[in-house]
Parts: sequence; C-alpha cells; structure tokens
Amino acid sequence: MHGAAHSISEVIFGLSPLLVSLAIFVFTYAVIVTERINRAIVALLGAGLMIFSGVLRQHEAFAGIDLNTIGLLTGMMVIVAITQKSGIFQYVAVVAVKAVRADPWGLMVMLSVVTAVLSALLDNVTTVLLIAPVTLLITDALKLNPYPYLFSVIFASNIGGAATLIGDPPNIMIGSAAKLTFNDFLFNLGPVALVVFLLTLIPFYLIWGRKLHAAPEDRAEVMAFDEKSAITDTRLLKQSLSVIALVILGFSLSHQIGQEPATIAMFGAALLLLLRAFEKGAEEQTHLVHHSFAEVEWVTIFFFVGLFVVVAGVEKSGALEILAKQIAVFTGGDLGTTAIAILWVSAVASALVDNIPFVATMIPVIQKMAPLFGASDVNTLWWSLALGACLGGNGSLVGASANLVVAGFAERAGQPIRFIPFMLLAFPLMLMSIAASSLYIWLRYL
Amino acid sequence: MLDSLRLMLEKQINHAPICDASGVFIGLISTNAILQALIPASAKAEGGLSNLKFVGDGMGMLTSHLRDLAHLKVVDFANKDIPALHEDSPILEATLRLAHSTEPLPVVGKDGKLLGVISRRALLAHFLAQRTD
Repeated sequence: MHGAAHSISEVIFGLSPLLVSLAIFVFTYAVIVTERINRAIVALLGAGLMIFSGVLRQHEAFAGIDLNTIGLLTGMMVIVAITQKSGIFQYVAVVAVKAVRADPWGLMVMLSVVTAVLSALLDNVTTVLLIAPVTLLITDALKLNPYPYLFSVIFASNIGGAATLIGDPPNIMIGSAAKLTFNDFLFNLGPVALVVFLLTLIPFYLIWGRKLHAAPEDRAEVMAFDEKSAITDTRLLKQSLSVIALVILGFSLSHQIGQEPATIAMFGAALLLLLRAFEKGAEEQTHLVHHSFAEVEWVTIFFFVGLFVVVAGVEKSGALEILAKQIAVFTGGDLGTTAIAILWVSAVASALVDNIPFVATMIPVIQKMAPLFGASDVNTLWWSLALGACLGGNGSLVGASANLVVAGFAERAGQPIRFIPFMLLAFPLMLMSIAASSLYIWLRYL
Repeated sequence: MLDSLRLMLEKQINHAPICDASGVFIGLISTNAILQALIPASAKAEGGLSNLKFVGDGMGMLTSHLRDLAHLKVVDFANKDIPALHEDSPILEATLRLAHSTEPLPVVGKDGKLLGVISRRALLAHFLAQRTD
C-alpha cells in the first residue's frame, strides 16, 4: 500500500504476477472464511507465499506492514491488560446499574452506554471481555434472561467502536492509511454513532425492554452491591487512569504535537509499565513486563502482519488498481453512488466475514480512487468504509471478534447464543443502522 | 435432586451412586458438584469474574440457584464419566483408582448392576485387617 509499482520479473515459472497474486489472495481469504485453520497461521502462510512466489521481495513485504496500526493496537493492549486488573470495569458497571436502581430496562440502557463508551476508548474485544461477566452476574442476581443483555452489549460495543479512531481495528487501519486524526474520527463518526446507538435502543425496548421485570427483593440485592469492593488496587487504578487520560489527550492533540497514534500508545504503555515497575525488585519487574506483554493478543497482531503482506502482493501486481477502476466505472465516478455503495457492500461483507481483511483490501482500493475525487471528497469514502465495516460487524455472530468473545463466554457460562436466532434479529437491526448511516452521509457530505 | 441432597446430608456422605430401575450403575452424585452448581456461572466460567467481594453475602443468588436445582433429577446431575470397577478386578487396580481420584469407586457385576461402592476408608480398613490377621 506504500508502493510505487516495481518492475515484476521474478515470478515463479514466468507466470503472470497478477494471476499468481490473485490466486494466493483468494486462497488465503477463502481459508480464513472457513475458520478451519487459525486465521493468523493462514495470513502468515499467505504472506510467505507472496514472497516465495516472487510477487514481492522481502523488503516490499515489510514495507506493506502498517506499523502505525500494529503499534497502536499493541500499545493499547498493554495499557488495557494492566488497567483491567484494577477492577475499574466492574466498578463502573455496578455504579451504572445502581444509578438506575437495578431497573431491568434501565440496566439494559446503562450496560449498553458503559459498553459503548468503553468500546469507543478501548478495544471492543477487551471491553466485552470485561463487561460480559458482570452482565451475566447482574442478570443472574435479578433472575433475568441474560440473552437480551448480551445481545445489547454486542451491539453497543460495535456501535461505540465506530465512533473513534481507536475504537475498532478498521478505524485504526483507516486512520493510519488516510492520515485521519482522532478528532477527525470523533467529529465525523461520533455524531452518527450516537444517533445509531439511540435508534437501536428503540427496537430493544419494543422487543425486550417493556416486558422485563425483576422482583423488588432481587433488585434490593443488586442495590446492596458495594462497588468500592470491586476495586482491587487503588494505586494501580490511579496510575492506569492517569496514563489512559494522557494517551487520549495525546490522541486528540496528535495533529498539534505532530505525532502518530502508535507513538502515543506505545509511549503510554511504557509509561504505565514504568509506574508499575517503581519499587519493584528486578525479578518482580521481569514478572510484570512478561505478564503485561503476554496479554497482548498476538494472534490478532500476527493476523494483521500477514494480511498487510498479502494485500501488498495484490496491490503491487496491479489487481487492486483494476478493482478500483472497475468500481469507478460501475459508480460512474459519482461520489455519492461510490460512498453509498462502499457503505452497503462493506456492511454486508463485514457481517458475513471478518471485517479486518475486507478493510485491509479496501484501503489501497480507495487510495487509488483518490485522484478521481480529490482529497476532501475522498474522506467521505473513508467514513463510508469505517461505518460499513464497524456497524456491519453487528450483522451476525461472526461479524466481529467482540461478538465471538461474548458468545464464547456465554457458552462457557451455560447461556449459549445460537448463530441463526442471533442473525435473524441482528441482521435487520444492522441494516437499519446502515440505512441511518446512509442518510447521515448523504445529508452531511453529499 | 433436593431429596437426594437431604438424604446425603442425613447419612453424612459426600457421594452417592445412581442406578436405573433394574439396578444398572449410571453415575455418582456428589455434594461438591451441588456446591459448584450454587456458584454464579459468571464467576465459574473461564474468563469470568475473579473478584466477587462487591456482591456482598450473595445469599439471594445462592439460594435461588439451590431452588433451580429442585427442577432437576439426580440423573441429570450425576457424573456419568466414572467407569465402574468390575467385581473380578484385582485389589491393586482398586487401590490405584482410589489413589488417583477424589471419588469413591463403584463396583458392578457382569450384568452392569451395582454391587457396592468402595471408599478409601473401607479399602484402608481392609489392608489393616489383613495385616493384623
């Protein structure tokens, strides 16, 4: 994606680099979609094949890896891995639930709000990893069916994640490639995410909210929860929250201070590790650093690395250039048609397959369409891609990693979420959010 | 289910074998499994809550989980993964099995019908009796 077209002459057996790169690309994505082999393994194998087949040289493969995305993801993962041990997430959830006096509908709204806000500021997967168990505990205490609550947590996490640069991996990738800042995302996607969030609460109320009921004695039990006891380490809490506040301040000032998000996130991670390392002996420090790094989701990181190389292969061979031209022909080079097409195609694609490979492919395609539309108009396409990819994740249980994390935990806790029943409700609701986004794009940018 | 628990508490035993109508061994129920069932799933499942201090005494939740057990039959709750020992098996096998598990050892006849259950104490008592003879 950074690439001047190099001359291609060394592809094996003198085959067409276009065909070879496309074959590797299609094969890699097809195997990823089957989910039979871990996606990180498949992406790395695909990346290796791009190099061994001669489509890419190693240095070109490395140049294709967006280290800004990798650095931002890793830095935030380290910060969250340390922060979560403080119990802050349980604390916030309990405070929110007590604020609505453990009313069942109020509980659904509050858990959704907490999830959406945390997903906007942190990674969605981490957010739901921490919110799903609390959700299950509170619904258990109130003797409520947890399914509507877990469903709303999934939706809230994907909608909240759409609102900011750091909320969802597609946004991180788009922001990095298109040089869009934290504030750009917040001001352009924040308002529509808020509207979609409020809009989604309406069907939630009609389907579940108005029928939910909890016995007064069970609500009293939840009201007796002591949120302060959820905090396990006050010192850690203060240190983590200070660093997170600094990092978010850094993101919002990234344009003024002239620094990229990866630097800010990595520096924040190093700062938090330093604060934790104070007053610790050498052995304890090693333990701390080892554990903090071990909690980074390396599968996701290596998946990104492999995908970036695979996409670099099809980019260099010219396949994506052809795709970009085809899209332009199809939409007649009209900005509005192109934006709405990107929005809907990415939403449906992201509901059915992982949105990360889709976005990784679409980024260079949109970059190639930039000359056609000009710098400010092309931003409309970026917002369409981001909204489609993030909100589309709500369309099915496999649409986003966060959905699978919630489903996995629910299953282990004896409350399985089934694929088809989930999709029967989630897909129409997702389409509703995309319709609202189309209206937003049309009113604001076209 | 709750009747079985009452019986186990009355007899002061932690395990009881479950058989079908014809006496064929099905599995074991244990007081520990019942205790496990009272813990909220949100804490028990992998990746669940590690700190439940903020919940307070949690009596409401625990007793409601106990009430939920009332709908279950013992057979739904029995651990059916315990291979019974055959009546002709050597005593060494019984000793090994008991040494490697926390549960008592059911013994069945050729027709699969339960003959009895060997406890650690019964086995040790047997060894002690052999020695003093």
